[in-house]
Amino acid sequence: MIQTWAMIVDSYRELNARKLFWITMALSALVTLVIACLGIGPKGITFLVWAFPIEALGTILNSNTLEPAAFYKIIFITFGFSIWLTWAAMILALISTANIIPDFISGGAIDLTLSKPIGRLRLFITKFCTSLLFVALQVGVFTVLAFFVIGIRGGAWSWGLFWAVPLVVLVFSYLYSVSALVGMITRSGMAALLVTGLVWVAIFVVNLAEAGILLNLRTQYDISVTLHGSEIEKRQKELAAIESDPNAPLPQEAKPAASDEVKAGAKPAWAGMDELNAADPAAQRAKRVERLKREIEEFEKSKAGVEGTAADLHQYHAIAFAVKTILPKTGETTELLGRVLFEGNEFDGVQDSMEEERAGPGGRGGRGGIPVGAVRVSQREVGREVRKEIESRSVWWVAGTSGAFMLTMLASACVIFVRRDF
Amino acid sequence: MTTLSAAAAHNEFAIDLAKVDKTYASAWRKKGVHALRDATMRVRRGEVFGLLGPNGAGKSTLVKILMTVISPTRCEGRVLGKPVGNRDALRRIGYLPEHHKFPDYLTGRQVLDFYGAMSKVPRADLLKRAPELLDLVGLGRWAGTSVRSYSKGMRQRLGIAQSLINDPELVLLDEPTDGVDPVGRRDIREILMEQKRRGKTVFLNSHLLSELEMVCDRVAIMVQGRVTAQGTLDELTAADRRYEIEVAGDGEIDARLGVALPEIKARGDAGAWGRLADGEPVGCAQGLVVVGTTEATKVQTIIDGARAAGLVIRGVRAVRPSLEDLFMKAVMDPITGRELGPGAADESPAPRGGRNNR
Repeated sequence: MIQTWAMIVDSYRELNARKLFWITMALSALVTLVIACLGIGPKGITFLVWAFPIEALGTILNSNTLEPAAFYKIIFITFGFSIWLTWAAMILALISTANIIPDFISGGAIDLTLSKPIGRLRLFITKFCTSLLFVALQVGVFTVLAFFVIGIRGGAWSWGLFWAVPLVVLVFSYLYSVSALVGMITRSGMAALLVTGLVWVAIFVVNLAEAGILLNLRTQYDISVTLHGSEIEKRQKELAAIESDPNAPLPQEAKPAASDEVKAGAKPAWAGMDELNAADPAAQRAKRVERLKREIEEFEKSKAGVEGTAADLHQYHAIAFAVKTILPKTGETTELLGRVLFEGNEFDGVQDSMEEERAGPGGRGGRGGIPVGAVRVSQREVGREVRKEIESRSVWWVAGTSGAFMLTMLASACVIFVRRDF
Repeated sequence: MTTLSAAAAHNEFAIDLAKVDKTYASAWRKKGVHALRDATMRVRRGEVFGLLGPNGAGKSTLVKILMTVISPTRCEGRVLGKPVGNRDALRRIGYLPEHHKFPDYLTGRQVLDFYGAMSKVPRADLLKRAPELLDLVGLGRWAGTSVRSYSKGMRQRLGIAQSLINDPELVLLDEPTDGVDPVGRRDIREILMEQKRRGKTVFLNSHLLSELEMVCDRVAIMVQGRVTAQGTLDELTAADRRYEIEVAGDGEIDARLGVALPEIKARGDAGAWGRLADGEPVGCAQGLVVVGTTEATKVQTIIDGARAAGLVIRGVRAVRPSLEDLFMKAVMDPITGRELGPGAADESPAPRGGRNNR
């Protein structure tokens, strides 16, 4: 315990001597101060006494759509944690800590440490853990400040906010494990920093490909397949009804099925055909049968194409998902904080508004969504399905697989450290 | 060896190493670099022991093996009665590596606190011992100053203090006087002698032969990964200790001496050494008679004979080779007369597994 404590104190002194640590700390305080100056009223967001001049923002974000506490939580999660702590402060932390392992194993320094009565494995793991102190202190201070801002300005004391400390430290540990391994192999802080940066970019690209592109497309095509199916089913039912009783009046025209918004606004090309053919019921029936058959054929043809693409997208997505499973999930780990902080429907009002805004006119049904095959798919529904799938991924999958990556990197560094002659 | 005698041996020797081998694997060569080969060495408790040898002889490798910085390919032996690398033994050892580097964000005092804690020294002992040691090495005034601003000599003094922070039974110092001025060297010598007086064992690895000669009870010479000689200076120089008698007179002095003392042969011919009655070698060249003995009585016959032959004795002196002579003799190839190169004399295939990355 004496040794562990000595290493913790030493790590603190090491950080204390780095200007970047204090610069990051000061910036964290500044970010909190800026957020504390923000406010939310009936007309929208304010900064001290000034209202934001963007009308659209005021429509979405105001005290009617969002409680002040939820507003501050969103701001802290979106800007404080997701942008500042997990991007900007993380980059500064990686720069600041990249040299810790190379310095630790440099000639003259490591000889002294290894000559002490402490096992190499314990020594390295303790050094790794104490190196996380940089981020732990940064996020700790930031969280305490955020806790008071939400409490005082928002009127809610969110203890769940303190989950940010282990979550952000966990995210940093994913990346720092790469830095530690590369630093151990190359003994160079610069190489450690560059490779960690590349790995981070790779994580970002894989995440973008999986969740941002492939999952989106796959969901669009899946919905499209379902819509094709329901279109075909409707027409088949109609056709069966016409053919079963030739004397019965024609059933009501089948409308093209689509997701909720599209249904409301889509105007089929054959609308009004009933009136045009009213004079001759037999001819009308025959034409109707012929058209239904043709439409069924067209939908089946289109469905086959969409199904083929959907199958391909499922395959590509599975590959991207497998790659993503191996890699650490920095973004999704940070988003776990949102799951802890937002309970019930606290966030639903604004989320719906934001989704509608994001989905655009098509999303509201104005122009019928995105055309996929012979149907149009609502962007809003796609977004909802994608979000549902991402949120269905368990905490264990997010943190467990990322933790496994981190442990693999750390174990590799440990093996090298334990076996190396210095 | 019985259990009792083995225990006695463990108690007698602070370091008792046998058959230490170290081969560094190379990624680019099939054969590894053999740094140590069958190195065997014993250091008694309470003595000051010096390890010397040319660059690349394997001295630092041997010390690093003792301190677990490097793992041996093979090693038999014990340190402070425990197997090499035992943590209990490490706790009782103080170590100052060559070219040591202290974190420059720490002050002198913080360095001692950190390394003391890493040696598991209780906090209460550290509070008492750290200022004492800083005063001892002359850094009391600089205790609160960052190591960043220390000179090389000051860092070396701090290194000595660090090596003593756990009040060790065995202190291993690799080039302790490197970069230290003459006053500092004298101070360090005094510190080491004080350790010896307190019954501690001091192991020195240094190139400064004169320093070692002043403080060491015993030395070992390491050449090309092997310990080629070890013992007290007297033991190691016994073979080369001699008396030299300077003789003057008219005519062929060597011939006149040969007539007066038939056992004396003229030198210059390797096989021309004569022998005294007790077997000591004796020879002469240009009026200088050399007698291979350490006993003054043995040279009286020569002096008497020379004087009887009418020769004048101009001087008699006992000659003992210095550590430098001993060192130079050890590091020279007896056949070529050139200095032996670094590393072990041959190379062998790198072993599989183990810590072998240099």
